[in-house]
Amino acid sequence: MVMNDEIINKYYAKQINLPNFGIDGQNKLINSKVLIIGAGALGCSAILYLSAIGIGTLGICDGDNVEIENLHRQILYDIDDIGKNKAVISVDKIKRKNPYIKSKAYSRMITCENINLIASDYDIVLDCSDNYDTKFLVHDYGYNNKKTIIQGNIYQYEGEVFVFPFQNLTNCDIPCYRCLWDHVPKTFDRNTSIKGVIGIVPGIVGLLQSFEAIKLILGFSSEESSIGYLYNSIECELNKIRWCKNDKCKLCCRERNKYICG
Amino acid sequence: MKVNIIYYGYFREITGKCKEFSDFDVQNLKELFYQLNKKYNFELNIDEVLISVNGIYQNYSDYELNENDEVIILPPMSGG
Repeated sequence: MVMNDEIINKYYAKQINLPNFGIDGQNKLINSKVLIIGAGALGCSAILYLSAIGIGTLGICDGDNVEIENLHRQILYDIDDIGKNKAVISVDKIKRKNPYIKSKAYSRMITCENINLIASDYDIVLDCSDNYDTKFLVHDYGYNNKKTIIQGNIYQYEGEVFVFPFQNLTNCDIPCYRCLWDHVPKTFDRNTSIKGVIGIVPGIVGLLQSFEAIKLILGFSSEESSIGYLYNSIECELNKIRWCKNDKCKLCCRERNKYICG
Repeated sequence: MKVNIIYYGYFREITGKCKEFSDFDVQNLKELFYQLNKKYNFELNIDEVLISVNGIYQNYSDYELNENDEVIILPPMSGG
């Protein structure tokens, strides 16, 4: 569906009226391209709100199919979606929610072999995956290709969001994820199927990721370096965390490695 | 030395607390973690976690602590 001024004014009227937003802000969103890797619990809330706010091009990448045990937290799906690919279903939902934006489904897992083919067209990547191999792959790709990565992670009642504004990367002055972890951590947190999860927590963390993307697109964010947010839902607390470049970092120190996988 | 410790994830689970004030006789992060490990019997070593002091992650376990520092102990977290 073609967007015209009348539709923009009606569909997005309430947000256009916000201070420092306006038609210019809406046009920035329409002209942006965001890829969401992982259409699970984190990804679902991100997909819903980024499509509603009017991100012009949304890519959704996930090789999994919807299962009944997903429904309590993967809020985009319903009973009729069981057995269908999450990326494909997500795009169907986006088209009904906001037919005025473009969306594309990549119904496969992201790998070393396909990440450039999938991600190269996008400006910002929301990493909503659920395993460290993917997180490090996506992060390293973002660093090497100057794409902003916004990573979300959860464990039971808590979550974290890391923003890596690699689009601003000059002279390797932004600390990266490997400045924190010099090795891929063993999966100690035991995935959600064993330790449990309540849907609201990844819902909130996915929204935090989304809003960080919006802030960057609209120019609201004053942050120029990497930053982490730690969220405790029980205490309703958010801790802001920064870090310095690690001189021994395998990625952003003098010797750089492409796509360190795992 | 009194420090304010905030626990996330596994550490919140095993200590049964989101936060606590500790008053161990310690100088640095390594000593603090050692004392906490003795108390709670962690399954993770200090080099397997992230620790921030007053909002800055610290890579070095010999980082020296000061009175009333806020220490956050964060395990690997990758769920989605």
